[in-house]
Amino acid sequence: MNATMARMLGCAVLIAGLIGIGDMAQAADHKNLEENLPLTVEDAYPIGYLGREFQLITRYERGEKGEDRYLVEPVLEFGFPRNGELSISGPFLWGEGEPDGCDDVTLEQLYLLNQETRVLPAFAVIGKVHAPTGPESEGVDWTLKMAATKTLSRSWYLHQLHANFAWTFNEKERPGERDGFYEAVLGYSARINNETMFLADFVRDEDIERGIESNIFEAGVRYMLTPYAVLSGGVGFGVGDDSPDIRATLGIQISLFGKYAMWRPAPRKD
Amino acid sequence: MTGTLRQWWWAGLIMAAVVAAWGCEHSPWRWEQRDKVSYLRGPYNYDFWNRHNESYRFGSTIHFAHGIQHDILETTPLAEHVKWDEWTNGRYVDKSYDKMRLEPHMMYWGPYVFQGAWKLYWSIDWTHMHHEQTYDVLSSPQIAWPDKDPWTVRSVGYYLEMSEWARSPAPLDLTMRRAGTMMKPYFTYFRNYYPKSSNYFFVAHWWHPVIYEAMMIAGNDDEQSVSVQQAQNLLPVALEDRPLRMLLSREMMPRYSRMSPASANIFDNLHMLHGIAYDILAYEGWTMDQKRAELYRVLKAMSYQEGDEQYVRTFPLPHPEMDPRVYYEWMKPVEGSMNEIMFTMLQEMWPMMSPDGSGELPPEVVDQFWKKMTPGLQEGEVEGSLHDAIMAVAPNIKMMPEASEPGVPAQKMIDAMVEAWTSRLPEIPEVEPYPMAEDPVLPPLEKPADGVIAPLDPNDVQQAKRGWCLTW
Repeated sequence: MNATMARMLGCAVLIAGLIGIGDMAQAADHKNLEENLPLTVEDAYPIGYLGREFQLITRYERGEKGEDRYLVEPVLEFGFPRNGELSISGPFLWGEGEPDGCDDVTLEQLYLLNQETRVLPAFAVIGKVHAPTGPESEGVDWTLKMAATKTLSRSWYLHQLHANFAWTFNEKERPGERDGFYEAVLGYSARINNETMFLADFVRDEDIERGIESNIFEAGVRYMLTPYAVLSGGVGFGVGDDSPDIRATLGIQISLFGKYAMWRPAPRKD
Repeated sequence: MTGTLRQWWWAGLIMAAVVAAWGCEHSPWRWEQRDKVSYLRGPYNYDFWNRHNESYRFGSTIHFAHGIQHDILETTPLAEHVKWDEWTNGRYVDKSYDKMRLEPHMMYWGPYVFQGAWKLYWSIDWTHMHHEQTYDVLSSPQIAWPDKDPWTVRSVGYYLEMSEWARSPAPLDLTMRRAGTMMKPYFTYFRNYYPKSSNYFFVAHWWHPVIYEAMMIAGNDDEQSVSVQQAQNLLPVALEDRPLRMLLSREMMPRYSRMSPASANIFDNLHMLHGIAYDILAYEGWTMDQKRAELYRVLKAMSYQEGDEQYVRTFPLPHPEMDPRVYYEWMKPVEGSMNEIMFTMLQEMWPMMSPDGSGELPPEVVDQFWKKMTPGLQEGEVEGSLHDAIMAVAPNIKMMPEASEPGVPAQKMIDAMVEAWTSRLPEIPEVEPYPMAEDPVLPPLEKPADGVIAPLDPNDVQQAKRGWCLTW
């Protein structure tokens, strides 16, 4: 078995495992913004302590050279420690312009630093480790990210501003690559009705390849389908020669519940 | 001072100011941790939503109303109370018929007060989680009837252990005394100035316990759906002819209160917290920071404290055989368990307040008390809070200055009331546990002379949803 096949098999096992866990569903939260569900922006808030959630991100993107690319990315999230969130994801890519296969598996820890007040936003720090499971990956890269969320206005209309800034360290840069690159996002979310949130953001980022930067405007919605499932959908349009022409994302989050909870009451004395 | 020293001095001063600002509980720059906890997993999760979806949706509607009410009170002027009371009541009643599909958290509809006093919302959301847990356990066909109690005990344990803002399992008789809110300058504002909305929440606090009790008299089988629907069908009756007081678990769900007295008390403490929070937010004499100080003081006073378990069963059952599928006459008037608790508290406080130290409440004080307990403003009622009314008719009463301060307890009064209640404990029989060994048979629904029942079309009975996936 060659390296590519091994990567694809590992990816398939990871995806199947994560989907299998998704058989057990529980409550999701559509106002808690998650990265790529459906937009790049995420808020500073983790899921609750001991919460468990499965996410599936699907994306179509038309690149700057007109190439069509597809992504399917399962994510598993766990609320740990208190005020934190641990997740693992394994994207699978195919299409034109890039090798097909599993990209870097990423382990991520988010930690909420504070609860927002009327004056102070909520801040979170996020650390990511990218394992070199992608076909063109070398070395273990890592990302340090800050997220901030502030609820706006003096009314019962819910709307929030979000800001993210991430820096990725490219451990083993190859010729033509940067040794580090950033992504900056400014986002906005607002309540439409009891089950639906509207989102919009602007993403400015550097590609790992030197000389390529992109700008994307995105908009989308998050919709509570059931108490434990959130559907999300969004589109993005690039500005600038190096930016993708269009991006469309569909996603689902399913919170994992206790169908197979181990606890049982003591035997009854009948 | 040299240049370097001066720089260090200024840096130290700035750092000290920042730390002081962040550390100060009432600073707008305070640095606090959220500590949100996900809820307890079990095989019963979402069985209430699945099996009794119409009732679940009405519960969601109530929680929408609770959320938005906070921001309405804080962001609109008291001078426009009639207009806003009409507006909120109108929206709540409309939504009660066109129900919310899913349950929102408090901040979703009350984002402004969320920023000012988020711990209040966290406590409410956490206790709503316990409502979901306990409804789910009762609704779950997978949990045998005799096992409902141990699964409920497990949920109670998780609720009390995982958050410092859990409501106490001790009865309201004790926690209201600890809170010491009756002589605060905001007490009764919400029910007097926003009576329609206040009475809507009295309907909500009628509905919550009757649904539990409807499941208790029916058991685990299909009779449960019939019983819940019969109770649910009373909603239009209750909305039209509303209770004029907050109904307590001991009145509305006597059987469930015997099975899980901790849950019964937790819910009474939550429902009372709603009313106190609305009083504080409606009051215009304090800033948001002062209101937060008082809200957090009350939260703490009514929260779980070590040793509260010993009082869990210490409350009477005034209507032990009530049928939750009947809307009784006794559910409607101002007089009832809640207001009797508060009248007794006033009697306990009076010797410390009265000019001559007598223990007898003057008739004019009693008159103003019952007017204040009545929703709306009555003829001859003094405007403002209960404290304002008593001061107007008994101007020489002795008041502790801290009684009117935000975030400060009137400790002597609180101690006097708590001591008075605990001294009567030997006279209060403890409620007996409820027998859960046998799945009950739903009794036939009969209309009593002092109550109303709702007709039931068998086709109306809420059908359990199939599968977890898509429900509209």
